[in-house]
Amino acid sequence: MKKIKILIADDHSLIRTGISTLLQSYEDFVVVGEATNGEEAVEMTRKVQPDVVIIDLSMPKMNGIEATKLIRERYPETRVLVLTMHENEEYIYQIFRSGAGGYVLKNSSREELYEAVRAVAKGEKFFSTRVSEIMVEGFIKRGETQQPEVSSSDSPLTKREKEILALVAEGMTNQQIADKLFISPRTVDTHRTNIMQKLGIHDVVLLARYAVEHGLLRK
Amino acid sequence: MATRVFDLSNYSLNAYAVPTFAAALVVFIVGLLILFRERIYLVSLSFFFLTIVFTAWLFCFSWMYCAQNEASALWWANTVYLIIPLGPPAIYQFAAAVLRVHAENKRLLWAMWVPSVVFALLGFYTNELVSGVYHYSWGYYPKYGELGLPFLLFFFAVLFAAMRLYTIEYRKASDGIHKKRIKAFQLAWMIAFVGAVDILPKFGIDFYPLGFIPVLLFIALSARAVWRFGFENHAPSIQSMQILDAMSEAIVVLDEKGVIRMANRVAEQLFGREEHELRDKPLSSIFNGALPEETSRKLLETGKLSYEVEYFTGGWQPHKLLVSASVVRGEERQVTGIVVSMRDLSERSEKERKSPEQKEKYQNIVENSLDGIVIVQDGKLVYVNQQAAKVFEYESPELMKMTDFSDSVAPASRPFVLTGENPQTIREEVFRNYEMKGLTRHSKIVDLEINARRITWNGKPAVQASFRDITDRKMLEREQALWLWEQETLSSIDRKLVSMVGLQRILDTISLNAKSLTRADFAGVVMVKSDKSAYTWKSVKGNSTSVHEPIIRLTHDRSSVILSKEPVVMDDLSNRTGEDKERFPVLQAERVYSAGFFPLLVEGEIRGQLVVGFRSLHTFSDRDVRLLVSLSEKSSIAIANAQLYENLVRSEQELKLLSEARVEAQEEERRRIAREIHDSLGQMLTAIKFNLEILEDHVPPDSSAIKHVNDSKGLLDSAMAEAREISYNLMPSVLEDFGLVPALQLLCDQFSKRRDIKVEYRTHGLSDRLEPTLEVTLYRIVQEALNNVAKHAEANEVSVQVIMHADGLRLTVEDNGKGFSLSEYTASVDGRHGMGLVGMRERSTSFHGTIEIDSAPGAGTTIIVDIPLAKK
Repeated sequence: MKKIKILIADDHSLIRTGISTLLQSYEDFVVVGEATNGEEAVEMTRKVQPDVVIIDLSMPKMNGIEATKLIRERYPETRVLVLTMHENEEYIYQIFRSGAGGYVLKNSSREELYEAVRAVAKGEKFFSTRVSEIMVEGFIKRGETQQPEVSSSDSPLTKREKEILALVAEGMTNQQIADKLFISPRTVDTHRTNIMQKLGIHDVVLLARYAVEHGLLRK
Repeated sequence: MATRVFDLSNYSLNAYAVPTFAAALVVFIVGLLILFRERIYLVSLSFFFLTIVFTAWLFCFSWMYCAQNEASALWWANTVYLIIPLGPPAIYQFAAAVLRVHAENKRLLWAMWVPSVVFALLGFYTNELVSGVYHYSWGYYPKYGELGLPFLLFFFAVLFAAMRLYTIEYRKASDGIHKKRIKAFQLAWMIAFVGAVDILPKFGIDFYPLGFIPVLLFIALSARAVWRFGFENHAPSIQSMQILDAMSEAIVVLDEKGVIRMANRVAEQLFGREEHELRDKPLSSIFNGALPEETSRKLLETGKLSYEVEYFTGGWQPHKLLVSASVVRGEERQVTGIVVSMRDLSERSEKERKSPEQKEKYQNIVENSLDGIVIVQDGKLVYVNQQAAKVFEYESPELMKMTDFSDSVAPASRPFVLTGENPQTIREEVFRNYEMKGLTRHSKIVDLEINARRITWNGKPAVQASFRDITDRKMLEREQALWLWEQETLSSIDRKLVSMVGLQRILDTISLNAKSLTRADFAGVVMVKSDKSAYTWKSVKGNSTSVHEPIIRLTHDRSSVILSKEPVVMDDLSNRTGEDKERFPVLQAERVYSAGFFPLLVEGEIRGQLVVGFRSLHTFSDRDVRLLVSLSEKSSIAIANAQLYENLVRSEQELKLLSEARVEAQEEERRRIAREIHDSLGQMLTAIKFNLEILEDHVPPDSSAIKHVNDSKGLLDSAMAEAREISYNLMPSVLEDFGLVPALQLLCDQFSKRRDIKVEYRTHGLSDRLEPTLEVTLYRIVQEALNNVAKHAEANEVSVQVIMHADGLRLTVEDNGKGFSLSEYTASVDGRHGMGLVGMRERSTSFHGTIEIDSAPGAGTTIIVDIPLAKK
């Protein structure tokens, strides 16, 4: 059986040695090279043509995400497995957009790492259990708040903004609104300009129409 | 007897008397009319006398015809012969007058008048001429005595002579009115002589005398002649010197070449020369203004001309003359002469001429006038009064007269040199209140106010100028203007300095103004170090070398000047000894010859000197010193203000930089520690974990050691998690790697989860990454705001928004908690609560942002942060 050729990219030699020792305890893995940064990882990939590159995210010169993108772009036969300490949603999202085949946290067990390398080498996707958990959490939360992706630039109005828009639509002045809500007119004005900026509406009449169309007016 | 004559009973109306009486009346009336028509003079009087003779004759005859007795008739006969003998000489007299030969016939006239008077007397008082009367059927009539025949001979001789005169003159006269006139009168007289038929009854021939008929015809013809031709031509008789001399106008008669042929007495006076001196000289040589070429041409064209001209006779005032000229032409209309009359229009000259004392008085006034008066002719001074000599610093007018006047006019005013010949600058007749500069004998420049006019001096054009020395007045005006200018300049400098805060700009303004105010070659400001060990040039104007703010050590000899609290003026720097020259290397390099040092004092302490330098010898005037002292005083205040302001700005900037640096250092420290923990500690823990797992392979699964290995793995996982948590809290790697939007999302998520507070997180228009330090700043502000919410607000809902506006970024953090009173908050900034807000404010102001907090008890808290961003 053909052994899976592995390239390890991490800026810490301790980690590289650790992983290397760990993986070589398996018969079907062979570690063909080590790289200390992203640039080196890309260069080594060209030289040794590994089946799997195990890569850390935080590295000098070129970080793991950039290196993954380049490797996947130039050597599509080589798969990338991200091995990192970061475990939040944004990282997961960015890692998968970069074309990585798997995402394993550094505190995962040896078995999990073994499974991950084998899966990625076969072209499958692999996530640590913890990563899967985070993804599910995020999915559930977005479902609750009907929030689109975090990076979206168009956000609907907040509760307070809807309240103020309704009052504006009723024809109240900033002072009247301020008196009603026990806030300063300056704050009301801040909200009003925020609303206008968000909706791209800079006319009070059109604001009122928006309020009516979206059922914001009080019954 | 006489009484009987006038007794009307002696007379009775006789029809034969009527025609004679009527004729007498007609002749008398016509005679009067002619007299008045022709005015009273020799010819008209002669004629009138004739009409009287005719009237008297016919009148007396009428009475004689009516007489009832011989005596009365005889009286009238005698009376009539008192008059009739006068007739012939009167006829001749008239002929001579009307023919203008009166003068030549003067003796002849006497020869006629004497016998005629004798005949008249004889006729009246004796019977020799009229011996008695005839009594005819138609009335009485005189009867000639022994003298009758001689009288008639005399009578006709005279008449003949008169007729002959007419004939001679008629032949002489050229065709024209005069000839016609002579002919007309000749005819009239020939008819009149028919009246001689009246003589017949005097010799006893009974014939009613019809003499009145030719007399009537004569008077009619004469009247006709007078009406048609007049007694004479109305041309003035220029021959008559007496008349001319009696005239008040100056009259000269010129021949066709313009040479004087005759001049009357007034003309002699006017030109100040005797007639024989004037005669045979061209008028132009005496009186240029009289008939210039142009005028002469015009005169010849029109025949007559009058114009006004000024003529200077040698008095001080020119005469204004009204010159009238008319051309006299001969028979062929050729020019035979020109009559020029000149009327003096100026009253003063009239008086002057009449009263020599007044003229003298007037001359006196001119001589002693407070105005300088000169007359320039052909570029030479021909008259100078006392004052003029005084103004130009000559001992006497005579001395000044010997100079060239153009030398007396300052070069700048040379274009206005007054010359008589070609007064280019005085095109107008008068040249008023012109200010120019004169140069005195001792080369002093004087300001003059000049009035000049063209005049004629001794018949030639000249320029008369009167001037007044206004040097003092000008000086005063200049002083005043200068003073005003100084004051205005100083106050404008003051205003400028007050509005400035930059020290360098103030110093530049000071030295520039010091230079321009005193017209110095060089100006600069030196500033003394606060410990008075050295000074340096801070602002230099008018330098020829480059002055690079050298720091010059204050040695003992230098410090006496540089540290002086009083102005120091050194007129001659070059005159100093070698070592001394080294005192002021910059001034030495700039070749400053005279220099002034004006101290800049702030609260009595010397801060520097305002230095003004001249490259040639310059004596600092009171004005220079006054100005520069005033300027340095004003400068001191501005410099003090500028230094205070600079210190304030510097300390504020330092404070801000310090605070920014502190924040930055803090963030850097956090970033470093976070990385250390994450990288070094985290990786080591990971490595240990790997090693532990390898070790696990070599430990038998059922041994007690395996438990320790598994415990260690558990502890390691906790340590790794802890390390990650600590690192993230110190500096979230997601912020660095992915930016503000996901970092805040994560922050809000974790906050919500940990505190069980609902968080609404909204962003708008933030597709691009922001500046990393700004991202950290905003992240920290939100972190702090959420911290405050968790600690104090007791809220259950928070909204966090980051919205990109056209002009900047706005962050709002709003909670629905209990809120607080802003007035209480501002009153106690010492608490933990306050410190958080202070931190937020500090962070936002480092990006020129503003932070606003709106809160009220029970109404939640809103924090609004606005960060201005330059538009991309």
